Amino acid sequence: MKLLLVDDEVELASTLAERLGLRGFDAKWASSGDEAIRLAAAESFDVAVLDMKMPGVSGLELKRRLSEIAPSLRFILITGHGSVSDFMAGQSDGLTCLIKPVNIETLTRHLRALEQGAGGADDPDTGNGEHA
Amino acid sequence: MNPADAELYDGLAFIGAVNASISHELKNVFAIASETSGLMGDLVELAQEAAAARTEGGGLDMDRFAVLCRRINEQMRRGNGILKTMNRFAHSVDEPLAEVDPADTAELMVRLCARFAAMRGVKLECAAPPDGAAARPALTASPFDLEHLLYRCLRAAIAAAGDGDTVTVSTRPGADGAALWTVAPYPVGSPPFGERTAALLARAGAAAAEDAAARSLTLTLRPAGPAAPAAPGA
Repeated sequence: MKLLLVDDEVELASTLAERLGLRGFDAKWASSGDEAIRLAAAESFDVAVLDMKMPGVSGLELKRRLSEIAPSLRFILITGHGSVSDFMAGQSDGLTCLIKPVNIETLTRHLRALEQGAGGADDPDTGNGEHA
Repeated sequence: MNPADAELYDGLAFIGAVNASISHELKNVFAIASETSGLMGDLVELAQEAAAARTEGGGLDMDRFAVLCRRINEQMRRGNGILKTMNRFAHSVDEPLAEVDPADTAELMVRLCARFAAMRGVKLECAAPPDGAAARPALTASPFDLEHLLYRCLRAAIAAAGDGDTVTVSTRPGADGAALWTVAPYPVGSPPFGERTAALLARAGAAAAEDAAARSLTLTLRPAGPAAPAAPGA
C-alpha cells in the first residue's frame, strides 16, 4: 500500500514514514502542500495522511486539491489542535480524523482497514485517549 | 454585549488565540519526541528479533541511535523554550502596571505570533534595536494591554502580508519618555482600528499613526500615571 504523509514538521513526517515502512507500507512524505501535490502528480498513492493545519494550506483544502489529481486517493486527517470545528469538518466529510500525537498502532489499524476496502477502523478512539 | 464585557471578552480571546497556537506547537514537539522514541523502540525490537533468529546484520546502528537521541534532546529544548515564552506571557497579568521594556515586549509578541505568520507564509521579526541603553526605552504601563495592542497590529499586518513577506517591528525612544513601535509593512487605510482597538489604545495611553508612503504604523506608548487607588469595596 502506497502512502503519502504530509506534515510541515519534517522530522515528524519523515519518522512516521520510516515507522510505517517498518510495518510494511511504502510511505513517502512531504513537508508542504506544494510538495505533496508535486509527488501526487508524479506517482500514484493509495492513501494520503494529512496534517490539518499547515502553512499556506489547510488539510481539507489540500485534500480537495489532491482529489482533483488523484480521484481514487483516500485520506486520513491528523490534527494537533483538538479543535471541535476541525474534527467535525473532517468527520462530516466521511474522513478518519486522528489527534496528535498519533498512536502508530492506531494509525496502522486505520490504514489496514482502508487497505481491506473499509472506510476506516470502526473504533472511533483517537488512539491516545483524547477526543477533539 | 456591553463595553466592559466586550473588553473582557477581547482580552480572553487574545489569551485563547495565543494559547491555541502555543499548544499546537507543543503538540508537535511531543509528537516528534514520541515518534522518535517509537522508532528507537522499533529498531531495538528488530535487532532483538534478528539476534534471536541469529540473522546477520541485525545489530543496532549506534550512530543512528545517537542521531535519534539528539533529536529528542532538541525537541526538549524547543519545548522548554516554548514553555518559557508561555510562562512569561502568563505573568504579564500579574500587575496592572509595571516597568515595561517595549523592545522586550516586541520580542515576546514576535515569538508568540510567529506561528500565525508562518501559517500564511509570512516571516515575523524584530529589527535590531539601536545600540546604547538610552536607545532602549522603558516605561511604566500595563504589560498585558501593550502586548494585546501589539498583537492586534501584528495580526492585521500578517493578514495583509503576502506569501514570503517579512513583517518587522522596531522599537525606539520617543519624546518625553515615550517609546515608539513601528510595524511595517502595514495595511495603511484598512480598518483594524475598530472601536475595540481604539478603546485599547486609549486604555494603554497610546496613539497610532499610519504612514502611507512607508506602509507602516507607529504606536506611541506613553508612560502611565500613578495607578488610581482602588475604590472602597472594590
